Amino acid sequence: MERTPSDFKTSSAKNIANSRLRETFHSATRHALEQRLKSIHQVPEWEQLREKGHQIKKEVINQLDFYLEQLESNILNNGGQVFWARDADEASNYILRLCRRLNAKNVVKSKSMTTEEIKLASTLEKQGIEPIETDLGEFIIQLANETPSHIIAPALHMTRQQIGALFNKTFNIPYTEIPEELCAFARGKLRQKFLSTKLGISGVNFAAADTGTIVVVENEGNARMCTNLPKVHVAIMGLEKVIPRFEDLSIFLKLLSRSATGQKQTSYVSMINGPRKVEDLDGPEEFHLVILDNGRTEILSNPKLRESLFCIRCGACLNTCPVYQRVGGHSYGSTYSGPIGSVLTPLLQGLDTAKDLPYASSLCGACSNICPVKIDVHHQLLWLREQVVKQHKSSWQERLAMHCYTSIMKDVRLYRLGSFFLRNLLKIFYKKGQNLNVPGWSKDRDFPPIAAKTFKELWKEKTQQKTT
Amino acid sequence: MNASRTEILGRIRRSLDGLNRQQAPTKSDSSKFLFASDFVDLSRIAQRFKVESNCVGGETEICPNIDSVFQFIKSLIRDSGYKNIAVSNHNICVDNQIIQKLSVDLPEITFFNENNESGDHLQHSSNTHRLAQTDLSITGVDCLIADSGTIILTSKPEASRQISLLPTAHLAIASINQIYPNLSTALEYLQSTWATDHYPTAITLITGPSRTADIEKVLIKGAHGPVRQLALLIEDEIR
Amino acid sequence: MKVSLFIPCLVDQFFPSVGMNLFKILKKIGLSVNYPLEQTCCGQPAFNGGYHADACELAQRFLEIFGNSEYIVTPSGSCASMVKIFYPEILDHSTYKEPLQEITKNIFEFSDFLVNIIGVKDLGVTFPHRVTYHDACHLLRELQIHQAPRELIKNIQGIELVEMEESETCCGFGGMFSVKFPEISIAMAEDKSSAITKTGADYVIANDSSCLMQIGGYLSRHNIPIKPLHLADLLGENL
Repeated sequence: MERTPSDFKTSSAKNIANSRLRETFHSATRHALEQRLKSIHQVPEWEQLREKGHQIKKEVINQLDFYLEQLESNILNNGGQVFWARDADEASNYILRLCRRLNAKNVVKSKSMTTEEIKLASTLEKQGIEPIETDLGEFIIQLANETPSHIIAPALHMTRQQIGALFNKTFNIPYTEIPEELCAFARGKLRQKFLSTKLGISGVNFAAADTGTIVVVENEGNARMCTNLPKVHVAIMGLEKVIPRFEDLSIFLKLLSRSATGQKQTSYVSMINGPRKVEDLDGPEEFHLVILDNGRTEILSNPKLRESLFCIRCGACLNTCPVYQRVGGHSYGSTYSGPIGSVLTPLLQGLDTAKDLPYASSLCGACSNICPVKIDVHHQLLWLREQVVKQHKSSWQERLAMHCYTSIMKDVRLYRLGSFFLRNLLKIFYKKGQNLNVPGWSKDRDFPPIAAKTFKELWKEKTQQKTT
Repeated sequence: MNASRTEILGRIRRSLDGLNRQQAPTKSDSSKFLFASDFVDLSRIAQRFKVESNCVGGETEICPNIDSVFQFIKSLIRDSGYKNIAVSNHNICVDNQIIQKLSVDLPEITFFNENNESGDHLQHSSNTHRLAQTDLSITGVDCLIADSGTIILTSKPEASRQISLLPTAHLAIASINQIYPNLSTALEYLQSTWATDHYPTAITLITGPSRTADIEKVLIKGAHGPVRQLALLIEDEIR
Repeated sequence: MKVSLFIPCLVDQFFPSVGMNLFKILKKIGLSVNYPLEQTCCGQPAFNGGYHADACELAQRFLEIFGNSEYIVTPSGSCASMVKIFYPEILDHSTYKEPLQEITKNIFEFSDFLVNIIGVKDLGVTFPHRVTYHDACHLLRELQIHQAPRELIKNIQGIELVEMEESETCCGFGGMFSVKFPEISIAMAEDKSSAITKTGADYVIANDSSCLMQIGGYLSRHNIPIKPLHLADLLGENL
C-alpha cells in the first residue's frame, strides 16, 4: 500500500491503536537506546567526539563543491567512474543503462536508503530487471511487498510468525518461525544470487575525498558480497556523504556504530578504492559512483536548514523520539522517518505532501540531544514550520486564530477585555471549577477549569491591599 | 553527463555564495582524534584484543609459538569436521608452510591454495565457487585493532577479498606485533605503508562473525559472511 | 536586587497560584519584586506554530516591557527558553543587538534563579510526602536545567523524592501538538502516567504548568489519585 506523508495523521492514529505494533516499536527502540547508552559510557569523551563530528561535517558542507570535485578526481585516478545525477530518474536510468550494457537480468543490492529514495527497485522491475534485496530485513520486506519501517531495522514491524508464513508461502518450504532457520534459508537462497549476478549495488556511508575511498558499513556480510563478487559495482551516494579525509573515518565510524546499534564497530567495514587492480586476485572490474542531488542542493541553499545535511543515517533520533516510538516508521509515508525524516521529507518531496510532518513533534529536543553530529533537529522542525506558514500552507482557520491571538496579546487592554469576556462566556456553559471541554483534548484528558481570578487581578488586589 | 555535473556544482556554489569559505586542512593531526579512552595498555594488547573479539562472538586464542598454532588448527579441523580448507599466500602462511605442513598431518583433508597463477580471476572463476564450498579459510592479516577486536585485511596478490568472506569459518593468524591499540593508530599505520596514490582497492575491517538482528531483534550469527570468526595471536617472534 | 515577574499567559488564566507563590518565595528571601502590568505573552505559541512574524511582534513588545529589568524570573522553562534561546533567532540582530544581549542575560526560570543566582536551596519548607519529579523538555534541553529543581526538592523537610523511570521523556504536551495529534499525545501521557504511578508518589512535581496540565489531565480522567503540583506552589504554599 503506497502511503504518503499526507497520511501521517490517520496512519499514526491507526498504528497507535494497534497495541502489538506499538509495543514492538516501543520495546525495540528502548532496547536500541540501552545498547547505545552502554556503548557510549565506554567513551567518556563522547561529547567531544560529537563536537568533532559536527565540525568536520560543517567543514564539508561549507566547501561541498571542492570536496566533491576532489572525491571525483581521486576516484577517477583509482580507475573508477563517477556519474552526477540531478534527480532520481537520472540516477535510476544510469543504473538501468549499466544493466542493459551488461545484459544483466538481475542485480544484487545491499541496504541503501538512497536507493529507496529514488525508487530504484520499481524502475528496474518495470524494465524486466529483478532487483534482489540482500540485507535480511530488506529481503523480507521485499517479499512482503512493503517498505522499511526503520532506517537500521527495516522489518522491525514484522513478527517471526509473519516472516515464517511469508517464507513458507513464497518459497514453498516447510513453515518455521525459528529466526536462525529463517536466516539460514535466506543465506543459502541469496548466496546463489551473489555468485551469479553481474551487477552489485550498494549505498555509501562515507566517502573520503582525499583518497577517493567509499565506505560501506554493515553486520551481515551482504554488502561485502555485493561490492566484491559481481563484475560491476555501483555505489549510490547522497552528495552530502563526502568527508574531507580518510583519517576522519576514525571519528565517524565510532559515532555511527555506537549511535546506530550500540556496537564499538560493526562486523564489517568495507573501504573501497576503485575497481580491482591488475595484481588483485578478485574484485569488480568496474566501479561506479553515482553522486545524487535529488533536492539536496535545495536544502543547501537554506542556511537554517543546511545542517540537516550533516546526517549520517544512524537512526538514533528515531529510537529516542517519543512520537516515532509509538507510531513506527510507516506512519511517515516516506523513505526517511522519525525526526530527521520529518525534516528531510518536506525538503526533498515538498511541503505540499509533507506539511504535517514538521508539526508531528512535541519539540521535546531528545533528537537533537542524541544526534552524533549535533544537528539541532527539533530547531530544524521550527524553521520548517515557518516555511509552511510563509508559503501559505496552513489552514485559513489557523491563520485567523493566530492573527486574533497576536492582536489580543499586543494590547493589554484587549487582553484584559478578552479575558473578561472569556470568563463570562464560560460561566454560561460551565459551573465554577468545572473542567472545560476542549475539542481534541478532552476525549481522554481533563482540561482544567479557568481560574476564578487571573494573576493580574490577584496581583492588583494584593498591591491595593498593601497601599490601603 | 557533464551537464548534470555542471548544474549540480553550480547549484552548490550559488547556495554557498557569500559564506566565508575556508578550505579545511588537508591533513589533520590524528593524535587530536585520540582520547584517553582510546589508549590501551600496550603490555596487555593481545589480551585486550582477545577480550574484545570474544565479546562480539569472535574466537581468539593467544598462542606462544607457531607450533601451538598448528596444534590449534589441527584440533579445530578435526573437532569441527571441516573437510575443505583454503589458505592464502600472506607471508605468515607461506613462511611457516601452513598448507604444506597441514597437508602432511591431515592427508584426508582437501587444502586449496589461492594462487595468482591458478584459475582465471573473472567473476565465475573456479576460485569463487570453490571458496563458497569451503569450510575454513586461513589467512594472515594486515593488522589488528585491540580496542575493538578488529582484523584488517586488504586486497593484494597474496590474498583475495573473497577468501575471508565466502567460507563458513575464517581463521586469521597474526603476530602480536601486528596489533594496534585503536582505529586511529591502525589507519595511520596502514596509510604510512601505502603510497599516496596507490591504496589497496579493498580494505576490510572484520569485527567478529557475520550477524543480524533483523528478525524480532534476535541476534543470529552467520547471516551472509562467515558464521565463525577466529584469530590466533602468536607471541613468539616469527617471520 | 530587583526582580521583575514574568507570568506566562497560561499561568495568568488558569494557574495564578503559581505566580502568587513565586512572588511569595521571592519576597521571603528578601528581594524587591515588581510585576510589569503591561505583559501578556512571550509569543511562543505563535513561534511554535511557524508564525514567526507574529512572534516577532510580541517579542519586540516583550523587550520594551522588560528591557530595563535587572532580573526577570518566570515559573516556566518553556517561556524562559523562548526569550533566552529563540528571541535571538527571530529578532533582527542589527536592530536589537543590545536589548537582546541584556534580556537573554537577565531572564531566568525560577529554580535556576534561586539555586544558581541567589544561591538559595533551602527555604525552610516542610512537606512530608513522597513525590516524583518530571523534567520539562524546554527546561532540561534548551536551558540545561536538571539539578536546580532537585536541589530545592531535596532540601524540603520530610520529603521523599523518588525518581521515575524516563523522567526526561516528554509528557506529550508540545503546545498545539496535544490537540493536532491527540492520539500520540495521549499515548505519551499514558506512558508518563504509568512511570509516575510506579514510583508510589502522592505528587508529581514539575516546573512547567503546561506539562502539569497534560499529566494532571490524564491522571484525573483516569482516576489516578496522584496530584500534579508546580514546584513554586509546593514551596510557596508551605513556606
